[in-house]
Amino acid sequence: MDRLPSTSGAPAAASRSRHLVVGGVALAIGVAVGWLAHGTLRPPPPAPPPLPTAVLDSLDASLARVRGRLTRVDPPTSGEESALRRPQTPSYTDHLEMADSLGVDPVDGETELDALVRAGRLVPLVDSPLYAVRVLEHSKPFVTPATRRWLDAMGTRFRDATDRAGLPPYRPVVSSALRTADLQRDLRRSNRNATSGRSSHEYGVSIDFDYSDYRLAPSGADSLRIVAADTQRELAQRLADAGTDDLGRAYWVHLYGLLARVLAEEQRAERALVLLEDAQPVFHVTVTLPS
Amino acid sequence: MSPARLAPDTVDVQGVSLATARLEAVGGSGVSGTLRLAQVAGGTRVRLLLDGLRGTGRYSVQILHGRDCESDPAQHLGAADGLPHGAMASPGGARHAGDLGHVLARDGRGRYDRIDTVLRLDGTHAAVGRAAVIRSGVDDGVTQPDGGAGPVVACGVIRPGR
Repeated sequence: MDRLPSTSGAPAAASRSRHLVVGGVALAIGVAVGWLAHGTLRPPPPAPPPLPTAVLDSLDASLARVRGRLTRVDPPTSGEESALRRPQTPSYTDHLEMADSLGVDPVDGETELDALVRAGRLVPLVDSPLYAVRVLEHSKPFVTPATRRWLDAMGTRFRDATDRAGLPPYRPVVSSALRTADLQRDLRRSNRNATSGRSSHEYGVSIDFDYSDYRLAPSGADSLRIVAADTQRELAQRLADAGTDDLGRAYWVHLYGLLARVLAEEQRAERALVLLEDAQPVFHVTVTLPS
Repeated sequence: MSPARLAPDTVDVQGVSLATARLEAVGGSGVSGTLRLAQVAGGTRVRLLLDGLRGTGRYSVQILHGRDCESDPAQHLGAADGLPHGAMASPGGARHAGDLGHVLARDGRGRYDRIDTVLRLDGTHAAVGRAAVIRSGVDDGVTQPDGGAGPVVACGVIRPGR
């Protein structure tokens, strides 16, 4: 099976994890010092007691389990990647034509955007337990209702995949959504490589996923088993959350494998067009479900 | 029995669905811009446009508990609830409402557009009337109480819109 030899984050993650406990203790001290030094708004909460060795061992074991399960998920093979790259996958022109037929008319700026939101033809794109939305620079956090429904359904299928792999609830990250004409003009001014024609992001049915970035869902804490007394549980759980979130980014190539397979199935089922881009680490996805 | 006294915030932000802050340079930084907040389904849309940024690094975006630009930048909106400072997408949800992550500098400009599920325009801990700051460094989301985000380079007070 072909792997991605240079992209695996496993060595770095292994090194990170060895220092996790030390980092955890540093965080506990930082929290305590911060509370002590800046508790001027109300009496500061008592400084958390240092975590006993048994709790740190439990934390380390929990993260080792997650790390082990991540590494058992195959990264995408070169064949799986090729199937989502041109020429095997629909071209950008296909995305553009699909977006033109199913999406809203290109939006010029905020005034038009407001009108479309009021009419219910575009809806806000907000962090959910199933996917995260990054701070957007050259797009706006809005999509068509059908696109958001697809995101919920696809996010559920990705969650099913992480559950089957015994993983905590990692979420894929949306890195681009609706691009208005004013943003497209601005992008052209600042980036000569930006397309001079229309972008399929202008219709509200295309999004990008950054395949190298995954975030733990807010409910991720429930999936971890930390042995800690009630008074220490909050801090221990916060450290576990942070460590698990970090592992998702360090071992992203394995989650990339899961995402590639879920999106390939979306394309086979004709629910979306999927293009693995060459220039950026993203899946460009155009939803093909009618509004 | 007299009625419970309402906190001022509970009164003066009722019905506010839009708010803006004009961010002005602090300490000769040359950084300025506009912050726009709007209530939308699912949260508060935060839009930020900055000019005068240097390099290609990340600048931190934070809303303070204080109501003017002399306020302590380490006291963020939501700290009064006793929550710790945290990353914008903190997995356990442990963060201040005013912890808004980063804006990336490109060619001197920075754009930020996101719908935040924690920040509010109304209620006891509304963003309206508070100071918003841009800080020169990366907010690590861990260091208490403010992420170690560096000096303030721009600041403005959030005013209610229409």
